[in-house]
Amino acid sequence: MTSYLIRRVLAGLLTLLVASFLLFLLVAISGNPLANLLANPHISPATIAAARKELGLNQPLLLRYWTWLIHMLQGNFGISTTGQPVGSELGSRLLVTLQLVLPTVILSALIAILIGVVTAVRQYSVLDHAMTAVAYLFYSTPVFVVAIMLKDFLAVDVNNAVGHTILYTIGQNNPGTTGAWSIFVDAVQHTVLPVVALVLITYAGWSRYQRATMLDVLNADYIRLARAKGLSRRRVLYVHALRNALIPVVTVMALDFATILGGTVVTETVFGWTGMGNFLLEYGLEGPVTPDVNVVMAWMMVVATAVIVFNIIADLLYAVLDPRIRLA
Amino acid sequence: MPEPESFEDASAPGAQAEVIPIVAGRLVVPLVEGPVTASRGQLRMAAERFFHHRMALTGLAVFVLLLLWSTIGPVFWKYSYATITNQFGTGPSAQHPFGTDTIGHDMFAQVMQGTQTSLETALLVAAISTVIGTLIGAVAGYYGGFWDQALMRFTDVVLIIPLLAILAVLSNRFSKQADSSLFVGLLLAILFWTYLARLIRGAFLSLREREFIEAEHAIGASTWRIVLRHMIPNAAGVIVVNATLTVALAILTEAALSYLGLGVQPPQVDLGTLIASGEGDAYALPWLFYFPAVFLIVAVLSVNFIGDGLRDALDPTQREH
Amino acid sequence: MTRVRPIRRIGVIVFTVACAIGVAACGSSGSSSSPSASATAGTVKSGGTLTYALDEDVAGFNVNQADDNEFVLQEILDNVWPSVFVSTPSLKPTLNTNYVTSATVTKTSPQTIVYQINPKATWSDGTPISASDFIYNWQAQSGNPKYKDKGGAAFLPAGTAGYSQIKSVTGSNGGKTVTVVFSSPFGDWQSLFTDLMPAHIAEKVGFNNGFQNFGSAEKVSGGPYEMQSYTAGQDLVEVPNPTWWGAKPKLSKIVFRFILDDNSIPPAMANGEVNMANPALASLSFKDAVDALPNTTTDVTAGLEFQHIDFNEANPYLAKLDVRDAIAAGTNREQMIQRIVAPLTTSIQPLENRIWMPIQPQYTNTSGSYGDFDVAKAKSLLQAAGMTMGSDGYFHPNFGPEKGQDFTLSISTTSGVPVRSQIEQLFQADMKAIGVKITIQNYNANTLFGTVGPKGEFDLIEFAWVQTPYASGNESIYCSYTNASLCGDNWDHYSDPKVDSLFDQALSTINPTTAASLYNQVDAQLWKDMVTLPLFEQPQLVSWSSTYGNVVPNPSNFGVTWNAYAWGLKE
Repeated sequence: MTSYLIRRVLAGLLTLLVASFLLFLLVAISGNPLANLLANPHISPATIAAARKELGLNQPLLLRYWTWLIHMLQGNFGISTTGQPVGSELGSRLLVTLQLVLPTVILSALIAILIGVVTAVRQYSVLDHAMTAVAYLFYSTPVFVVAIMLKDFLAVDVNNAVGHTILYTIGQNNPGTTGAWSIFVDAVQHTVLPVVALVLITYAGWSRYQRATMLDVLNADYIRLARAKGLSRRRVLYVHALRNALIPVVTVMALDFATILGGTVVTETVFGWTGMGNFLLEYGLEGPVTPDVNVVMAWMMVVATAVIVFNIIADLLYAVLDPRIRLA
Repeated sequence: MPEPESFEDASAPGAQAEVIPIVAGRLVVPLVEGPVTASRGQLRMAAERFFHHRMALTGLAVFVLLLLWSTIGPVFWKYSYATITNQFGTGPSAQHPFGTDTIGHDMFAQVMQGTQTSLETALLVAAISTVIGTLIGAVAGYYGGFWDQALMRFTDVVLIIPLLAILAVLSNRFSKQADSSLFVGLLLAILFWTYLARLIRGAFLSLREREFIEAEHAIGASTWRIVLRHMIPNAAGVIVVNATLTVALAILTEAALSYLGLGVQPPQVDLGTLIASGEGDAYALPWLFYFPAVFLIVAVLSVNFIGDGLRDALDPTQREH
Repeated sequence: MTRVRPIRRIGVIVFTVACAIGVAACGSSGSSSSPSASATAGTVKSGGTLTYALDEDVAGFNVNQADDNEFVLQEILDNVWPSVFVSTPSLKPTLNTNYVTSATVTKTSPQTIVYQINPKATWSDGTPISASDFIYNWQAQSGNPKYKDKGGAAFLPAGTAGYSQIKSVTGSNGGKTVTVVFSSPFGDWQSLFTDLMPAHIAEKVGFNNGFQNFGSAEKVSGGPYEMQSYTAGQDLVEVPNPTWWGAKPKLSKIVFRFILDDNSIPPAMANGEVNMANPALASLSFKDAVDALPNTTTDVTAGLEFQHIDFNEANPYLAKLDVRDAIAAGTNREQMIQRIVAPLTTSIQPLENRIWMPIQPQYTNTSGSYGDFDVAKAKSLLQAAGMTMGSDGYFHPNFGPEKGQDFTLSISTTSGVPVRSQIEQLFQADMKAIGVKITIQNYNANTLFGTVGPKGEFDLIEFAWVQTPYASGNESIYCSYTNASLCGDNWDHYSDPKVDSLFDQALSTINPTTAASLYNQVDAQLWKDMVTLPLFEQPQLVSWSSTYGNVVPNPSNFGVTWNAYAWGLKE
């Protein structure tokens, strides 16, 4: 087990390294970071030369990559062209995105498992058909459409009905709120709508998968055997079937954590959150120097690392939960 | 990526979880989980099963209709999507069935054109990524060993590159392209093939151990013959179903990109850009938002139904009960 | 559309003087008391917070510096950094006696102005506002290489109009009297010494880079409010300045909330998350959405912003006057107005002057027949320029790189802005009708204004200028491109010595009536040369919750916050 883990981690690191080089190449060819400075008549050639030196652009590509790599390994993500250190900025933005992603995953998982199991057990019932239809609908809808409808219609209607604002549509909190409880409530009020949007899209696919796996398990020989042995239906269901049906689904969810991380970009944009998505779009690509290499590379590395980490977690979960699979 | 070292392990119930592609915010539920045999007689049976699947048939009909309407319609319709008409900001009427936008475009023409761009780009993405994915997966699965490791590591690298980030970074270059939808399509294709490659590789890894393949080896058949005439047809189910899934995913991803302003650029339209420009009008001129949104959902839904039906038809062991 | 973010640059354009120089009372024209007197309409309570949605985040905090010269920053600094003269909503420059009790022209040759600083005027850290502030602000924006920023670097001001013509600034009377002597006369002198930065702070941290990030330098205030905190991408909070010596402001907090997506603002207003909005480019959708909100006042006025199309005369076809005239004649500006801005406010007409806007008294239609929409004339002009109509409906030039092919031009603007995209599409349809093929090629704002525009990498470019009520700053846009340091805003490869000399005359004319007529002569020549095609004024939309009183929209670059000290919750 441990050796497998070590191997996977090493493989992951190697992948990260190669990916980082490709990404660096990509960012380098996508535009001249000095373009805006060059075009400004007020800026003297001396300033441009200084900027070029500071950004290291007069060095060959490989050397620049090497410098960036060394710095990154030391934990120095560099300074963005607005003068802010990228590392600390990234940290706070990651937390903001997590404020969105964690509740999404947990809620989606719970709802998906519940619906998946129930519809599998009550296969072909009216409930099953209804849930299937709903799942298909959400599964086929883009997240930004759902987000827009929630923002433009549900929020206003609910707030009007209640009489004051309980659902917020802008940002992840009201800065300047004081008091731990108020801060918590305020954060929840801001998080409800985007999370609902993401959950509706995410649970749909997972619930179908859970349903399918549950059905497989319920029809499996060893379940029939358990029933034949006279075990109560409930015991059969929960102890044996569910446990086995959860295995692949949990792995799927662990893998998707990383997907959702990347995918919150759209939701953050619709609701104006200052998280990872906004960080890339605003600072990396619309700042005074485009593209801001440090910002873009740091962002890519964080997301790539998250993907690899969660893939490894999924591997482990898979191995741990299913005793039949022994990773050689 | 979790995968059992050998597919034999995976035949137990509730077993393997498959690889999920990391793309912009969409979960793709792996609806097919293993190699499928589909020889000629079974192909016929599969077709029969497909045509008995009501949802799939409906989906197919709707999708074909959408495709025809969006590609042939513009030839016959009185307005082109770029025409500025005499009316602006008007609701659905006899002259303008979907109304007009604030500067005078006929929305029926715009939604038609938008659907065409979205569908064509998605089909392009699915086609190219299927070819690339099948090739890479086949080589990895068939040869195994070094090739397998190298290609799968390469697949890993591509998989962790965030799609949205790449497109965002390259979007400055996009704006110089007159036909940005083609560019977007190619880029999506380059990043979508990874999922299929892994599946095919798994299928081939398992297939090559089968007796009939060994028999082919024994009689001295060439690699190409084995791959083309035996292995790919056997994996056909996997390929076809996942190609369909890719279409659905591509439509959604491409719309999301256009919505963010990173995909298709004006004056080209696709359903994403139409939804984006209609968003602000959802209060006062709702037809500008709802028509493109509904068409987008219907398109994706129909493709998902088709995918469902195909999966049922081609892989009875994984029937969606 | 998501990510609507046209950067509104304040043109470094100088105020017109509405009164004659040489009249001692001129400096204290009309409302000589502090501008708040004219603003207060009703009574308002003390206390309360107002959240104002800004659709752009700030790039830095020095509005006088080249990179930070943005409208939203100006609005933020209105109540923090002192301005000697403020533009009221009627565009009258009004002396702010909280800072300067009198500003008189004591001599016309050489032009000499004497400012008496209000003895109570102090920065919030205790340093009195004095002549050293005037001296520093002048030197930093003079463009004179003799004066250096911290570290020996050259200053990088947004513009030098007027300051470059000052010979000396001296303080006397303990620093409370400032005497400014000009080396050559500058008519728009009231535009000077706006957004005064604290010299003692700026010298320490540096003009170019010292105000990049929010810190203690930004917290020093000379106005009724001070900046309390700034969270990048989220908000900036202003609270009353406890050391303010004038009338106490009413609101206990003004929150500038950065909301980059215009579509998010109406629901936020409906929810009370935001109380005021002023989108950069108001669209009909936005207006419809805020009109539907209860308890909301919406004001739409044409101001000093206008949309226009530039012709790059480096393009061999656009170098021909006939071609430019043809394009102008083929553009149906009325239709653009009808579909883009008329639903917002009905008073907009095609814009016939680049230097003066219709709300200014100096506005005159200088276009002659050049601004008329005439498709037949356009086609005949193209023929005269050496093109023949092809069978596919497009002209084919008989010369140049596109000889024998469809005559094609590209038009560029900022991507992601619906109003601009709409202008382009209407323009494209108009051009198709006269036989010119237009391709649309947009870029993000930084690239467009940073690279594409200045480097001339375009055929046609469309964007908006936000003027200040002064006219002299227009020079840098239209004077000969060969003069790179003065005419840095001329991206069109345009040159006309007649225009250059007229500008020279106008800038040094002190009599405002004469100056105005000179500027109009400039514009008439610009029409004859068809250097750019002005399209229409862009109306400003300000929307706010009706629970707040004393909100008065202001079309100048001071924006609606010009009198924020008077805002409050209604009784």
